[in-house]
Amino acid sequence: MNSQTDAKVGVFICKCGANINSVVDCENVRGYASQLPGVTFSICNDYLCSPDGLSQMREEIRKSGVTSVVVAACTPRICEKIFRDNIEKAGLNRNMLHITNIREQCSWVHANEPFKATEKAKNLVKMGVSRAKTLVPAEGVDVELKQEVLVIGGGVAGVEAAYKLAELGFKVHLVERKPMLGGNMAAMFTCLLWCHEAPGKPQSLNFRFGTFPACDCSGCTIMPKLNDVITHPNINILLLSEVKEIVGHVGNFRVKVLKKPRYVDEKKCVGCGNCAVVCPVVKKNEYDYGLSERKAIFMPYQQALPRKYVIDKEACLRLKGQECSACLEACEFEAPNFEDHEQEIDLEVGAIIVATGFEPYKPRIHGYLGYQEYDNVITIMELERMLDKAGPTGGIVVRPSDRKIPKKIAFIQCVGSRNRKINAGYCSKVCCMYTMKNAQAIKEVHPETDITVYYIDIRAVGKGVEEFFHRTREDYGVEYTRGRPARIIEDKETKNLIVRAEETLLNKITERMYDLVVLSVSLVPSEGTQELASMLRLRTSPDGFIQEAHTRMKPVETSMEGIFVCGCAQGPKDVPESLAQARAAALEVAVLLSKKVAKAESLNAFIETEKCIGCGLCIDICPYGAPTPVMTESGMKMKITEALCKGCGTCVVSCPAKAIHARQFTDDQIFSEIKAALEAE
Amino acid sequence: MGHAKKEFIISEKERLLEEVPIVDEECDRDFIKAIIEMGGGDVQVCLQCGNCTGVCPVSLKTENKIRNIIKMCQMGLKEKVLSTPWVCATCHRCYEHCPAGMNPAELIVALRHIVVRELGPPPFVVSISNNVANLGQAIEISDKILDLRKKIGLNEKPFDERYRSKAIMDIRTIMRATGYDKLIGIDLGD
Repeated sequence: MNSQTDAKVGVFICKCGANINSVVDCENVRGYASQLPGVTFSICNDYLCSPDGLSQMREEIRKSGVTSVVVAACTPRICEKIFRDNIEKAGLNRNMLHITNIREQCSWVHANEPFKATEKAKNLVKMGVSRAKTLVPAEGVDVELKQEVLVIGGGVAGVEAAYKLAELGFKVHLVERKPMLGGNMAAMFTCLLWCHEAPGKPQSLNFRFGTFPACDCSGCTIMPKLNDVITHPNINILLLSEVKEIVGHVGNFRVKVLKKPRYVDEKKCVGCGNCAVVCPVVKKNEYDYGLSERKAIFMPYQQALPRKYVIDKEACLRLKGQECSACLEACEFEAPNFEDHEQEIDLEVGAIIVATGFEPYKPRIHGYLGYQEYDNVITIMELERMLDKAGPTGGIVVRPSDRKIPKKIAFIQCVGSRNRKINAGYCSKVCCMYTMKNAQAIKEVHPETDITVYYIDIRAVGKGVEEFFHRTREDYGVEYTRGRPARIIEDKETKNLIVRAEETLLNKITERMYDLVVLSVSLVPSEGTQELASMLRLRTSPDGFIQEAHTRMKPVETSMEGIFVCGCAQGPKDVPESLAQARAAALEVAVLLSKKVAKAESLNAFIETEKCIGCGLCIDICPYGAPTPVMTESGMKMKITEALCKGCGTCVVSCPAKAIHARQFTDDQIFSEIKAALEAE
Repeated sequence: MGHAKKEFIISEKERLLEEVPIVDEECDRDFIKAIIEMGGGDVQVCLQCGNCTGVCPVSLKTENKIRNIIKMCQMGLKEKVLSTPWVCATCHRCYEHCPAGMNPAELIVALRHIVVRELGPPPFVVSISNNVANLGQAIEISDKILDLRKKIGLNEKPFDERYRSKAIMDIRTIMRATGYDKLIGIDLGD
């Protein structure tokens, strides 16, 4: 350790243009700092973080041979890394830096009292100098980065990220909870290419509606991608699997995945469907939102990929202990395997991408919008499934009550979104457009249908989307009515629905009759997002989606280093945006792992093993899981994994034996600051 | 000759009936603060979706629907809000449905307070309050009713005078303690 007497400190004061200098008299602070014991020189600079400022800093450090540096500037959150890198370039250890925040703590908060602000800045600099003299050089530990990646969620975002990383040569584990890949996008398979078979003569045969604004069939666009992923040698797909436990840190996460049994041998099954024909059990198909029926051995929907059947454990007679082997007898390849069991798979990965996506909001307000109370009130996802040519109704939109084709359809926007009573009141961003898309699709199949859209605002931003809105009204003649429906009343006989709303632009209350009401529901985080977030120690925003590290500057990073987020897990977004974010996340992972070995910052806690009493308090209190117990000759002791430690210091204060110390924030260092603060002038 | 075509020229009389544009001078931005102080809730959160009007049981009976009143309050059209008639059953259905989490019914209550404080109580409120203070009930029993009661063999007065005089004393005490008598302008004597 440097003795206090021969420490040489250089003080750099940043004026931050007028940001600091207009309140704090920087020259005055500089003059004061140069008088402090141990200070070799002090310098003012207009913009210290600019290339000019940094090069001046390096020059001065080299020239004067100072041993430690005090920077009086803005918050360390912004500038710490730049200055640490810079003094390292100048030949000092990156630890030998103290940052004094004279912008946020002086010029910003005391803008009306320049004299006092200057005095405070002087005091802060004095404290900084005093601490800088006690700093000791330290090296961060090397962390080996595992060259494997875990992608949680097999929707379009997860698949895209996995594919890009696999192409770059990383081994990717893709974990998906459902028995098929593709997520919500694959369920919106709306290929109307065959719609000439539909009763209403379509206007054109070339329209396909899956995604907006181009209206290309989502199945046709996602399937090649899914095929690439399924056949890629670098991708290990784990279907029907959930992440159970994650420990470790950036570069070295140890993950436990629970793979539930499929009861069908994936290698043997060819997806012919002979088994489902003979299966005696009939249930509602939850993947079609209950609009169709399935057997106990089933494919979620016809175009699901991979094309492998799955047995519903709850429904299968054989698995419930009865004598039945119909599917096994019908299968040429002996694919059904009733002895299949749960597996626990251990993975070691260097980085994690969370792409758990969304699920459609389920309207819960009975008697208000009448969902699940009136037969003919459906959600948009049910409509999507109906519009699927291979779906439950063969591409025709029908009323669930009598299977008749509706003549008048109302869409109700903002169900579950922009509502502070239900959630944080966020806008789901895509509902305006998927309503337009589906309204157009219905008009293509049944041009005579009357469609009214009840909306609060139309939020059609983005490339080509406003034009898409024009097309809906002008070419397809969809009526837009501004006003949020107050309630829906069912005509008991005809099962028609009366929608009562205010037409706010006319200042009149309307009560109009419809055959079918479609609720444009919002996007909510998929089930289990909160649990996964707490398992990964990620923050979630008030709306329940995973919070990115910085709203503007770090859109795919999370609060945990080495864990990235993309797609609707981060917030509602459309397919192109999900893809862009997935690729961004893949790039971030590639940049991180391309180094093979990373150096962790030396800001961490360490344990004096001889003082440790092995009480384990630090284990309970550490938010990052850094301390672990180890058995030594002198009993149970704690050990801190340096790469995991973030240097927050929680364990330091919790330790009853005073065995834990925070590197760079030892008692000596903090007391020297306090002493300087209390010293008389 | 066919029928004379209707001339699409606005006559002088019709011109007088034309709506006048709202100008800046009518917008009193402090009005929102006054409403919030009166407990009217945050008027600014309303996004004019019209759900409140849709569920309102009296909105078909009035030109000024609850959504319009909120909009007028947002703009600070104090004179207009206070001088136009609005009807509210204070059933709080609008509050149950409002997606923005606002309470339009409380806004109406606040407006009522403001009206009484600024423009004085409406005449019917004064007469009702006088009745309550003097008779212990809102509506005076007319001679006709008293005759009818006598005719069909009921007690002439439907209440016990002893309890009523005590209740009236209590009501008067409350009115004095809360300053209601001064606000409405009821003379309670002594």
